[in-house]
Amino acid sequence: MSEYDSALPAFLDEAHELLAAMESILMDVQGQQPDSEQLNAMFRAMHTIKGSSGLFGLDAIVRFTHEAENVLDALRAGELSFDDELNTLLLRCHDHVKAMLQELDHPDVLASMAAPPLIDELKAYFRQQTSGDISPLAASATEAPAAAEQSWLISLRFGREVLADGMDPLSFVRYLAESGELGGLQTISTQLPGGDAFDPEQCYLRFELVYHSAMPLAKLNDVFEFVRESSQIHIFPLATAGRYLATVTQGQDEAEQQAVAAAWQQLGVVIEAEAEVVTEAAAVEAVAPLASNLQFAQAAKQASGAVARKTEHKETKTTETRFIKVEASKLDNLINLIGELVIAGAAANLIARRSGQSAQIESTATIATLIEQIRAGTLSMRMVQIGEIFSRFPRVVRDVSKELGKSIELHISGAETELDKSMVEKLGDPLMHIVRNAIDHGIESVETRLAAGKSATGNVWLNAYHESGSIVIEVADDGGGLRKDKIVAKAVANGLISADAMLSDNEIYKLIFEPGFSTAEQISNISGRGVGMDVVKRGLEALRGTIDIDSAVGEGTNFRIRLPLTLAIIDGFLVQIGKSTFVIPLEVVVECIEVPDDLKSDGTHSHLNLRGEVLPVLNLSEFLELGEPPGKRQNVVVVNYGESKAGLLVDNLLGEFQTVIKPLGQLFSHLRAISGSTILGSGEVALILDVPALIEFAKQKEVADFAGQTEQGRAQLH
Amino acid sequence: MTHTIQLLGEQTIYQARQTHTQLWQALHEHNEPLQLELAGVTEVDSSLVQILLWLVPEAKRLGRPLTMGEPSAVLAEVLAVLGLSAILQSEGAGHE
Amino acid sequence: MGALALKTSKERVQQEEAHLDLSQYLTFQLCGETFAIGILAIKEILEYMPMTQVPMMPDFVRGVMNLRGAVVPVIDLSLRFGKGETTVRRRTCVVIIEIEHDDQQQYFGVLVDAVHEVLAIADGDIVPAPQFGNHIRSDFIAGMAKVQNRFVVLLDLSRALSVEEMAQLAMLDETALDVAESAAEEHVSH
Repeated sequence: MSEYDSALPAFLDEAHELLAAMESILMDVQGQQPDSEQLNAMFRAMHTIKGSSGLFGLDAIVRFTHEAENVLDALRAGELSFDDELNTLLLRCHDHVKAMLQELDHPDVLASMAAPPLIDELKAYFRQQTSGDISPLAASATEAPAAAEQSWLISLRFGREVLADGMDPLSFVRYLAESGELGGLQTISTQLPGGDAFDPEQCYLRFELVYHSAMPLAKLNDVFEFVRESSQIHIFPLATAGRYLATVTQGQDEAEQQAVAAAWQQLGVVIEAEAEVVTEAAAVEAVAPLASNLQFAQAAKQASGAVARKTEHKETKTTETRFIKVEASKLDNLINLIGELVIAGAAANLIARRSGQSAQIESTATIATLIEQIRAGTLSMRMVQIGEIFSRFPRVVRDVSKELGKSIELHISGAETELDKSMVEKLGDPLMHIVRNAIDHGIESVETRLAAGKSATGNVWLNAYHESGSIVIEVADDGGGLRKDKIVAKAVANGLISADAMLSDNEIYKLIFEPGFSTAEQISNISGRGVGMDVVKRGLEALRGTIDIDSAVGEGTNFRIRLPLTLAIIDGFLVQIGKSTFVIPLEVVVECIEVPDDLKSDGTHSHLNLRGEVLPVLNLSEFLELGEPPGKRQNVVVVNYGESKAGLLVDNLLGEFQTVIKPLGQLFSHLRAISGSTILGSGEVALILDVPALIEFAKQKEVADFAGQTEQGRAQLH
Repeated sequence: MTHTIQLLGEQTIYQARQTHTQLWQALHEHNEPLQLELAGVTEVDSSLVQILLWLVPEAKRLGRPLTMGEPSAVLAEVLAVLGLSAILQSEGAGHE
Repeated sequence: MGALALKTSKERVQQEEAHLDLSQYLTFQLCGETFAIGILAIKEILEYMPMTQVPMMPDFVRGVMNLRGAVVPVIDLSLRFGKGETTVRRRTCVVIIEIEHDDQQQYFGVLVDAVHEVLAIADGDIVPAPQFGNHIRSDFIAGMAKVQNRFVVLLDLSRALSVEEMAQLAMLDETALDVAESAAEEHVSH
């Protein structure tokens, strides 16, 4: 059963991709008639999920997707017209399949989801649409009523490997019995060898059966899509099947030929003696002119449609193979190896330079360039477009605004901006929260908007772009904006700040991310799902991201999220303190200055005059208790944290360095000032400073020190 | 004396090899009549059907009396759909 | 580096002696005493090399080192046992140990004064540690093995290198700070 387990994730992946494609089409068309390519894509989604679910024995999903597929098929055949109602129905089908995929571990739940009320709605819709007066065109020879039942003779001679490939001939029979009526079935096992020649894992069975169903031929053909290559599958209209006996027994031994003939007689097929061998395609073609029957004409039309679809399918397949799915851990291993290659390369470079042989120096330099290219290439493999998460928002905005009775338009730009795959996964929830918040609290009700002289439809913008080694994601709305006075009042009421606190605008806005800010009266069905915006802040901090808010009352709010492109590499600035080397993330470094002689120092903190500004300076060696004497010439690295600047006192500046981040492990998880480590070209480990946390820590320590002094003072007074 | 084999639980392609071996040994390594109990089968696919289709003539060929017990509902349904219910009443089907 | 080829000999000996209830132990010198640890947890033995000191960690965390691209913490067991700091000499080694924590394999380097030999010790020759009179915390001791008429302390590395305990110890400094901090906050709000 391990094969099952290992194949399941691939199935889920594929299913989710197909569902995502279906959803985005449904969101795109917005009740307009989809083009044939879109219809085919949606049909393919349901059809493929049905087929794969069958292989995994997920009968509930097979049953449900079968219904959805029927509707899509009718739509494709032009028997149904597309409208807003169907759009919503199909979206709900999408939701339902998605929900079912969540319940794979709970067979009982899954089974109960096989036939939700949604199916009845679908069927009711189907009936209502198709039973309406049939237009003269629809009644003409090209169209037939969808519900017309016809009878087929199906000959299924399964390939030897079918069972071993995980397909059960019985499951086809079961499926047919469910989607139509079996008018008789004969099992032929003449190929099953006696004695020791029998291999229980090979398939020797052949079924001849009569089938009554309204299923169009193309769909009937599709049922056997997964065994078509390995098996001999023939489907004929029952009335004319008799002439094809030779076709279905061609090349087979006499025992089998006789068994098939006997089976057909049992099934009531009148065998025509002068039967000649006809290929199946020809058979279907031959049907059309012979039959005056409308249904056959339709069958032929759909059969040729099936051929057309098949080619189409092939085309999409080639586009799909341009992507290869790779396990993330394999890529990570590769990146680790390349990190080591860089180190080994640097060592080789050093040796070459020492040797002084120009040819050797040159060749190691070439290798170094190649290594750099390989590294950049490998890291880029982790990059995906942010559109992957943006694409789920049209749906959210549509649903939520409907629920709230607001009219909202979503504008997406920059969906092609790339960032690390692992970030994309973790970014989804925080972003969803901000967008929901914008819809719920940002955009006003229609009445309020009109009263304020705005358009009734609110706008939400999602935008992403690259900026100096980071990715910036903006969520903006043209809603009511953040009310500073209200936020302050609430923060005071909740004990987050004291009443006389002096805060900048940005500090006030950021209060909404504090845990405990969100209060009961604010919680609505949409954004207040038991968690506040503090989840957003924590989620983004885990990604080494920051968030800034711009807002103007009555005009709207803009959340600007800034994230590193990847968690795996960092552009660092290397500094030396005593014997230790530290990495400061380049994104926070503003400038470096030489320490002026007059730097006043009182313990670990001091300050200097930076072009007229007071710059607090942190003596890293003392603060980190490295216990090393200061170097002769010291430098100050000026860093940004939030809106403020600070200086970090170091000994030497070693320059910029792009490097792979190595986690430090649980033992060091409490270290607030250090976010990770990296391996230098020399093979040494260098620690990466988390500058905002470091400065926050330093502030706390200072407050604590002073508090200690006051306590002491008090103690002395008493 | 009868040699009795009970097939239980899932009897699909995953068990086919083992079940076949068990039955093969029963046919070749014992001399008593063979009794096959099928009431405990809970899941069936074509592979078990094939094994039964193989077993009946094989027992006859080896001259070993074979009887098969009442099939479970699942198995009975499958055999009925495939028009193979008769194989259970193979020779000497004098059970109960 | 000076990695000993432990694995092949380890596997061979394991096969030969599995049926005798013998287990393999590495003995080493640490703060003047001989200790032993089960060989299965040992990944490799390296010569001492300079490592990167990590600030704001307890003394017994000597730093982190680069083990073929992975960053591995190095523990000074002597300090962990409450004894003096291990001074680096010519024979000082780093023994790389693999420990399972939260279902994840975690590597640690352990600083030792010198590595002696690999011994096969029968399970029957191992007795529990006495309840007192030990030089180190008794829960760090897995047992005492009788080797050539003297007792060697078998270390329980899952205790001695317990990630939880060490992380907690490391956090102590900060907790002390947090207490002061909350006192300060209270003060400010008055």
